[in-house]
Amino acid sequence: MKASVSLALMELGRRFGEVEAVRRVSFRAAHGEMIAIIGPSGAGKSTLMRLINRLVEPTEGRILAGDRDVTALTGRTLCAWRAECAMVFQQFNLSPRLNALTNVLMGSLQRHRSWRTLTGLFPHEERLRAMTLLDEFGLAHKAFVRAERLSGGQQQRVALARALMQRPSIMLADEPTASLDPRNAAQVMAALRTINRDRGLTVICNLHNVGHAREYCDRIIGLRQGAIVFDGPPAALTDAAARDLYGAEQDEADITQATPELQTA
Amino acid sequence: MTSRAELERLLADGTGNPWPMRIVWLALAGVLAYAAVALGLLGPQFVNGLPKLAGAIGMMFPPRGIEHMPEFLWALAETIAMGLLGTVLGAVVAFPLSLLCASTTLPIRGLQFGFRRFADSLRSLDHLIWAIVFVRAVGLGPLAGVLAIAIVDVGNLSKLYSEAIDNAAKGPPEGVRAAGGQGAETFRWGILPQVLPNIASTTLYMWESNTRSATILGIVGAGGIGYQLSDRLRVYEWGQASLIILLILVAVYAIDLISGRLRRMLIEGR
Repeated sequence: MKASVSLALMELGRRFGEVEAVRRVSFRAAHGEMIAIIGPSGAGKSTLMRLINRLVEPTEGRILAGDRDVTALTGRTLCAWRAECAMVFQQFNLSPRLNALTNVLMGSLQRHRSWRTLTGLFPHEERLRAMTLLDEFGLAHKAFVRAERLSGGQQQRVALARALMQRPSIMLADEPTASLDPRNAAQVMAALRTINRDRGLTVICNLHNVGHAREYCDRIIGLRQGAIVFDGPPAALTDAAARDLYGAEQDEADITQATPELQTA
Repeated sequence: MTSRAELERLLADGTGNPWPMRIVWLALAGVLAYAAVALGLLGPQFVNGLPKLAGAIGMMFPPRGIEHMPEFLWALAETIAMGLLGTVLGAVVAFPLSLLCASTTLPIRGLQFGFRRFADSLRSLDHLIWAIVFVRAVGLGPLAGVLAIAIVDVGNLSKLYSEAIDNAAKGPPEGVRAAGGQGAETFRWGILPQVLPNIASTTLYMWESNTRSATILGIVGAGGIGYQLSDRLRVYEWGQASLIILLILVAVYAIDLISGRLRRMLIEGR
């Protein structure tokens, strides 16, 4: 396992035509910190996450990892960076027709020559390592089951195993619990927290659930219309601040106004 | 936490014996190699023939016969019309038939199986064979070509339409049924909007393909540009033949372009 690197975003921005999805976002993530990014839909959370591993190219600003300029990476060094900051997704993004083991082995692509990765002839040690990771998430007996036949909670745990297979120093999680039931959601959040504590990984996590952000994370960053409007520890995020973040559409006032109409209709 | 030995065992069990699959691949490679030798792909017949191919192409230059242009263009128009009319006729018959071939719209297994086999048998014979049959029935000329194209399309399109219907998401029709919709209404508002772009796009692709097929039908007497082409080749008029081939290329290219545009408009809605 590599040592955790500190990550610094400097005036990072992304524009899609007229829309500024992310604007001048700056923050520094310390070694082994667990950060929640919260905000309403369309606030630019997913784009921000994808800027960090360069799945989306920034139009402004810079990203530094230790003393490396991530924004300047190309080709193989860019692929190596993506492997180093593993990502899990809302819809898991496993290859549905491949079995769990093969999906986990995708996490070792960066370590092998292309004749191996393209033919699927991964070394025995890696296959065993993938098995061990699946076993850590209680899924060793599902190793040869196709991903599409697993439940959502199981798929997300396979995705976590794939992410750990990459031997990352940073873990990005884009709404990892939004497609899961409450019990599985809590399990995945607990797993992320364990990965953060036991392996010392920096975790950055987009969340819809403010409760999860408060419960599992060291620090909360609030995003609204692409810009940071809150940055502090969970204790500093008052109910009023949270309501402000999500804007008027989720105000209690709106809900109470709408309800009588529904009842009379 | 499972022991390392136990994980090794699970890994070995799951991977299984690779040899049966390897033997299948080896056998396949053997059959292919035998076929390549037996059919002359790796023999002198092919190697010695290549220079003569160059000679045959050389005779086609320059293209000649501009004075026959009106005749050629008329024949080309006939071919294009043959492809279009055949496709439309085929699609019109294929749509209701596809409802009988899809398990979503005809859940009675045995009946659906029968209709599927019927559609299969229509498309299992090539256009060319159907054209020969129809030339016998309705005489020389493009009508035989239209019928040949239409009948193969009924087979092809009803299969493709019915697959689109069966692959449609089950949620929307469930929504319409829950709102009190009857069978036909459920299909009309729950399934049809989902499959319409797919059906239109498939039909347009078939039109492209049929234009190409229609050029060849003339050779068995079903009219159009193919008849002109086979006629010129019979009397060794290579120059005129190459002019006809150029015309066919331009026409097929133009239709591919138009159809591609239309399909993009339908699928992306612009």
